[in-house]
Amino acid sequence: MLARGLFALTLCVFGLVFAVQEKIAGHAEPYLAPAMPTQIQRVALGYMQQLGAEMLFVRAAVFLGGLPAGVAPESYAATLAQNFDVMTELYPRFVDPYYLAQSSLPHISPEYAAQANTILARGMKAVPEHLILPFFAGFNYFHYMEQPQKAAEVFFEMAQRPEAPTWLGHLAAVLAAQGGNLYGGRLTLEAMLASEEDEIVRERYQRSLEAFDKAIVVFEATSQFEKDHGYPPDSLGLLVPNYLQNIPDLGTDFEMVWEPPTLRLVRSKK
Amino acid sequence: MRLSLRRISSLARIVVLDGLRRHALIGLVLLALACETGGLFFFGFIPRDIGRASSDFILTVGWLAGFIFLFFHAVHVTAWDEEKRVLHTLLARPLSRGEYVLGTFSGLGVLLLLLNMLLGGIGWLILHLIQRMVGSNFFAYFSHGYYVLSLVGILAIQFMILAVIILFSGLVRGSFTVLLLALSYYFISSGLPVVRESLATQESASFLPQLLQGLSAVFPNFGRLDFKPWVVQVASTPEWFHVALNFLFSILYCGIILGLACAVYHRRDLK
Repeated sequence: MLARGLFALTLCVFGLVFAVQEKIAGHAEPYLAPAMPTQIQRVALGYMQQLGAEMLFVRAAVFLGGLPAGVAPESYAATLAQNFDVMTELYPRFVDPYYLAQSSLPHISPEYAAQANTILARGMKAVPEHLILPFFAGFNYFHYMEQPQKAAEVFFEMAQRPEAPTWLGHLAAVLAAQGGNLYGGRLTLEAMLASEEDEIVRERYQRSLEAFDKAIVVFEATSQFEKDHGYPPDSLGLLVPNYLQNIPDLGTDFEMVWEPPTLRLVRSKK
Repeated sequence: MRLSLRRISSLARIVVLDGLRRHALIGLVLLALACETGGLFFFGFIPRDIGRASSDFILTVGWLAGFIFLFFHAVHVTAWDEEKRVLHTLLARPLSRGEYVLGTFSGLGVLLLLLNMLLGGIGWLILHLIQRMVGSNFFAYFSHGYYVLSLVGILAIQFMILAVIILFSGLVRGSFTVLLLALSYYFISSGLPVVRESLATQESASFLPQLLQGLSAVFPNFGRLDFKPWVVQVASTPEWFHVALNFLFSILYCGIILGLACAVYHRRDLK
């Protein structure tokens, strides 16, 4: 009789404790634990390491999906990046972590965009047929890290592949010019023009080439100015009339941005 | 020779029938089947690479079931437990110790084969069901050949571990000790390639890399028999020569370990 009573009491207390536990857990902030280092997981999991990486992905995805509004990304970004690093190192061919890393890391800060690119580089090596991964990396360089030149290098490499869309080369050229590499961008455009058959696209490349040529003339004038004076001009207006008759009009597609000693060619906002 | 084979197959049959009637093994099979069916829910967490994640899940469940079979049932059967006296009962018959080793290995091997065939077949059905459910965008490619190759790879790994368990059972007494030794063997085999890889990136004048290379012949790299990634991947498939070489290595490894086990059992005092 006493034993039954004791058991019933224990059961009641257990139910109460469980209810309180669940109530506390409901208010607790979501938490993502750091993943164990890759080497340890590879030893411990052995044949299961691919499934281990997939479980880490599911855990990270559930964590991101359960975040309440207003949580600062900086509070979890480091752990999240570490999880992505481990799961992609464990299983580089599994593409989902790269997509999730791209959607959750680069917008936080340029440092996390750089970390996302490190993670994406692993995917680009493991699954080179997935063109979206270098596209993500190039986009991060351009948009989050403000390194158009690096973005141009990535897109230019992508454009060499037979399955790449045709507009990638043009994009690489434009970004190269935005980064100050006018000659590199022009070379890319010339190659694109030589291999393009569509007349409308050829016309577009031709217009871009004309803008590049005019910008190169201006850049060479700034180089001559620097050679004569020992310093680059503060503004392009100083080149007129000794080095240029006038500052050329590049039309509606591009405009020049002079940040001594770099002349950038950016998409016009007109 | 024919009589010897008959004695080996008789013992193997006893081991198989004993295994088939054990409730624990039936439970293991049912658990593994339930886990494989769980793949139908698992893929819901994967947004894109559903084919890859599902095939990894199914094959890993099959491997895990074999792992549990090896470390609990096989160790239990082969370990030299004084209380059981099974070994003494069998060797009281006109059965040599070498025939005992080969018969036990064959019987447990047949059980492993049946387990993998059952789980592989159910897994194949589940993967096809998932492929039909999600479409080609998320499950573009499924190679039947590499799926079967993955199952054969799992079987080869399990046979190698089984041979080592039988060797350890001859060397030491007690199922728990054999279990610990077998687990240590497995983790060393899993860890050695990781250590070798990390040393390969460092310049070292010491003999350590060569020592580890030599140890890899004793603690083999089971990853070489892991063909899971190619079940859903078209590009960069392994060379068939390398595949054949790895399987030949596993057959020879099993033969050598079983030969050593026969020698150990032959010399060991039963008392």
